[in-house]
Amino acid sequence: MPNVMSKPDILWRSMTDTLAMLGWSGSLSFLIGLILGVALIVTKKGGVMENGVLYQTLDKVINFFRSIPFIILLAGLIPLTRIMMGTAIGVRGAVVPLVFGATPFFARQIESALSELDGGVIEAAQSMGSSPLEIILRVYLKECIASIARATSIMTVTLIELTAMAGAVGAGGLGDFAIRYGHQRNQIDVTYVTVIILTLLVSVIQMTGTVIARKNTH
Amino acid sequence: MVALENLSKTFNSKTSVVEAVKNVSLRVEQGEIHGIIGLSGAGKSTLVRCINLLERPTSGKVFLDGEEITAMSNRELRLTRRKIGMIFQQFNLFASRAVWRNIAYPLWRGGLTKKQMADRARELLALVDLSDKENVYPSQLSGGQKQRVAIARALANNPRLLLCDEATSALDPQTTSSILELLKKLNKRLGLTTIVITHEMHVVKEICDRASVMENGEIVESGEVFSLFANPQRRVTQDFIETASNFSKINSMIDENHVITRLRPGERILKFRYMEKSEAEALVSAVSRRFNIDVNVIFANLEWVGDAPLGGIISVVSGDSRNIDEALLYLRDKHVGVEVILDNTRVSETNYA
Repeated sequence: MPNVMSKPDILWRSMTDTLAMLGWSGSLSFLIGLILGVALIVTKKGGVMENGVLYQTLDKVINFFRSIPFIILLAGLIPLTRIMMGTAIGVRGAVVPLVFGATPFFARQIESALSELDGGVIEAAQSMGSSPLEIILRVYLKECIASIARATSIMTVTLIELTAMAGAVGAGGLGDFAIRYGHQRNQIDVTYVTVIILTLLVSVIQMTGTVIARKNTH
Repeated sequence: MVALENLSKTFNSKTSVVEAVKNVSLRVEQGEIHGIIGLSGAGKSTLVRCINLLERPTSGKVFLDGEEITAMSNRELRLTRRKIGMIFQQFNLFASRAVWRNIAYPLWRGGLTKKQMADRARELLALVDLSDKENVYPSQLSGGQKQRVAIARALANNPRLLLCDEATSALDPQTTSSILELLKKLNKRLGLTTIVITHEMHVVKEICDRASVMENGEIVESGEVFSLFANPQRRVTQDFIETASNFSKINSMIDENHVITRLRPGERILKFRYMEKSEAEALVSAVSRRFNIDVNVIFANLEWVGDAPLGGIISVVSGDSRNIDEALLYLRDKHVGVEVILDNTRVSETNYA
């Protein structure tokens, strides 16, 4: 692996960039997506905080962002990214489009995860005097930990794909590393090593999700 | 205790309007077990959900101990709901919480420490005879055990009222009996007013003091269980009683010309029914001895509602025609209803009831 061995610092930098992008955009997407997903579920018809206008709005906005191809989102969001982060390149510049790309997808995943919960359980909680907020925190989120964990690992793996694409517009990271050296300079070992690292990363994420899900299934 | 006044609930969908509950008024007294029986779709589940406002009635009022629940703010309503326990057909336990945490769920924000909540849960588990299951998850319990946990959870905040929505409908007959026994015990021991929704006649017979029959969203008949079932006025009530007895079989036996229904001259097939609460007397042997007739029992269906027998027998009666007539008059004095099912002594059928 002569080509990889000759630039361990670049490889290391690419890895930390990928992890940084993943960490930031992953946590933000998780948080915002979770809130939006819960909002979708509770404002839906028959939900504990039924609100037709809010539901319809969220539903349309999420559909809108989900339908934009990520590569267009990357470019289109440049002005917004500049305002928010002060730059549109590097890890900082990538976080904004990554969050926009992953959040709507994750919100839908959360919506479908929470909708698996039997309505009777919600009804029981209501009959015991639980408030809507209490139902969200103590019933929806608590009862659905397993499916939320599975949704999160899917979302994180999807984010890895997106970071590779973001790499193409100057965000750095492993995807960028593989394209620049492995593909463009035909250093085939770079591609292999990158693929192996990404495979390990995906496996770890998937395994973590599965373990959390299993621990919370009784 | 509980009073419903002119309660109605209408569901509007794009294509149809369903009046699930129509102008229902009902009073349930303190300490009473009140059954609401009806076929599926009669509106009984909607009605019970209107009591704790899981469904908001379209019109009408609900009172609990004189307080109007339908006029409460959301916050007051939530506090009141803690005083109304509810159990369901599908148990609705929290699958991700161990048994004791299920029971402790409604105790949250009641100012108890974790240890106090665990103690209270243990106390309730003992009450429902499930002491060894506190750390087990619901998926490891049988249906009857799940319902016991649900009952314990419903009782956590010392409710004044317990609502049971088809609580035994998902259980086998034996488990059903044990759950009914438990409900009765709780009613006696805690003075817990209980409203039981069911489509099963025997549930009402076994534990209810009073009952209401629902049909098409309305309460068509209501009263003390014995009189309701001894003298059903409405067709739907009569049908429910039929389901709990084997009396309807006699008609098909006659149609099939079963050997027992091939009457010799002078014989009749009669149905005797207790019409009023009475002391159980040896009526069959009394009439056969006194009037020198034979009473051959084909079907018997006797239940005990409180300390009075409810139900009756179908039998082939043979003997001297005049003696039989006298026996029937004697039985009428004893408040036994007599219905002629088949008569081989005269041309026209007579109803002595």
